[in-house]
Amino acid sequence: MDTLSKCVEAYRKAADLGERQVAVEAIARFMWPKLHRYISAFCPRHAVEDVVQNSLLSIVTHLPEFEGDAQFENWCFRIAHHRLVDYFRVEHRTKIESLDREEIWRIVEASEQTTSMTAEQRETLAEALELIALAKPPCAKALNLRFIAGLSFDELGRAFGKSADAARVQVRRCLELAQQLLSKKGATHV
Amino acid sequence: MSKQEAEAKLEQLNQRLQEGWNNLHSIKESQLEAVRNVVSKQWSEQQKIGAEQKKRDIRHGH
Repeated sequence: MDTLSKCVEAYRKAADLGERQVAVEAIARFMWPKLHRYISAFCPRHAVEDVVQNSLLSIVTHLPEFEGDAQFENWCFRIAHHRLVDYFRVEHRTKIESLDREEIWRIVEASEQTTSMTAEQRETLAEALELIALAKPPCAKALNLRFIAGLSFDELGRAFGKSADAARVQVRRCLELAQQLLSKKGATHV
Repeated sequence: MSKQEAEAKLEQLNQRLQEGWNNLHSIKESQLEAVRNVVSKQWSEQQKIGAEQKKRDIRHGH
């Protein structure tokens, strides 16, 4: 059983308010950065914190209705998606603000607070970024959402209005196209 | 670079970014406080509903 499932189980079994608070706080701490990353992929920066907060409060409010087992994280993202839709209903904004290269590296550097990075790993990440940078729209959007924003295929499908399998095929195809461009670029440098 | 290698590299980037995101955007105390308030309110309501149900059951001899 993973951390999140254990927290949900603890929430269900909580015998008093104190136990329930501990379980919900653990869920909130675990989900906050994930929701933050997901919502940042769609929302203008100034609105991100508010939409994440609304999403988290909706999740907590609806927790007693959650009956699934393994799909809790997906359930949370579905709620966050609804809060995003609510936001765009009011704001009528559809433009995605992707992170620039500098911001991406800032986030990567922050990961070193917990796991240090070798020069080789750094090079791998630079190559991955190069691959995404070479992709052209709409592939750039798909690869950005999958690998920079970290959307699962389920979430990606929801964002594109298609099935998770169709989103997976699209990402694979985009990856192939980006690779071809990378090979061509490499060939021109020889 | 093969397709598998490319995908593996992108997955590494994805994981590294999630880790960085966890460190940069952890939940703040004020945001946790809002969560605690929702839980407390919900708990009180559930206790109230439970107590009323108990009274009804006693009244109906269950």
